[in-house]
Amino acid sequence: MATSTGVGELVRAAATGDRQAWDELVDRYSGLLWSIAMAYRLGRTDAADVVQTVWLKLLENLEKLRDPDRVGAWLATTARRECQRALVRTRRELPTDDAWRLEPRDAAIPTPEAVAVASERHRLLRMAFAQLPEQCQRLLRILMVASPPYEAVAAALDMPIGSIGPTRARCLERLRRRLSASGISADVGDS
Amino acid sequence: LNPPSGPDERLLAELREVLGRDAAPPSSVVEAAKESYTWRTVDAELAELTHDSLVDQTAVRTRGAPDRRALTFEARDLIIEVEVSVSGQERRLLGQLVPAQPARIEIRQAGATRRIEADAAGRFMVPGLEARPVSLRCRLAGRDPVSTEWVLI
Repeated sequence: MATSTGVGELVRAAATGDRQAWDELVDRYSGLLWSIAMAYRLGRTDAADVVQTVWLKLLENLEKLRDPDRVGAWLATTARRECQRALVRTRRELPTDDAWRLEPRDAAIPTPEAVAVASERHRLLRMAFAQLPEQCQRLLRILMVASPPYEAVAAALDMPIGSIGPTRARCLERLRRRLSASGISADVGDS
Repeated sequence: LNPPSGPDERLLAELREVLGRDAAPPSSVVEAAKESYTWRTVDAELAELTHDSLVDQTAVRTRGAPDRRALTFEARDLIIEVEVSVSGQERRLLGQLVPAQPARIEIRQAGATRRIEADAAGRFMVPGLEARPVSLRCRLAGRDPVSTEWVLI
């Protein structure tokens, strides 16, 4: 996973017209930004617009970033704010347009093998996940993507950085308990 | 990626499998972000978004109907007031420059630029925009251009 090494350099290079540096920044952080939009339950169209808005905002702030090495946290904070804005916008302005997106987006189209082997287990896992508190769902959606730096996770969720680890453990423990209650092995992954 | 090691990592890995469709950004999103670099400008002063009626909920609604969104952008000595009205997927901007003055304005959105004029009273109107990020770049007499922050309308 991307460490902060060299990120400040990329920001400074992009600020002086280095397009490759910009592309590298986009490659490093698009996964994080997308996972934040998913964590806030945006539809895919809104998520795409929010991610694009965040990149455009970075573009106009490249020279002004106080700490280019912490661009990940800056992006995550900006993404959180834009997600919150987009949620209000969608609720107020597009009540019907986005209705189809409220269908369970997690119901990914499974392969035939997956159906045979894991569909019941996955269904239960999906159900157990959906019953977690909102805060847990958000955190796990971001953490499951690419183990991003906790500083960026904290910025995305407006949580103290020191609480990410303990909250992660607590949320996974809750998920395990719910799985046990539905009668499947708590130690997921052993199947 | 590292292979899952502890039980927590294995559980997260299985979650990723189950919720997988959401896990990675579509390549179109990544490509659009890369393309956005062409919007980079070095000469413009930034007008910051200082008020957005969508999120700055005040006790008293100061102006506009519920389907109108009021935005205020502020640069050093220029304020750009914009009202966004919604009609289906279309957005229309009504704008006012303060202090009032004529200007040439570029409307930057989704890879295209449209040019309009603000009249002598500093008013302008832009119909037919998409529900996507937009930025206005104002060229005024006797000063550097002013670009508004990007905002998703």
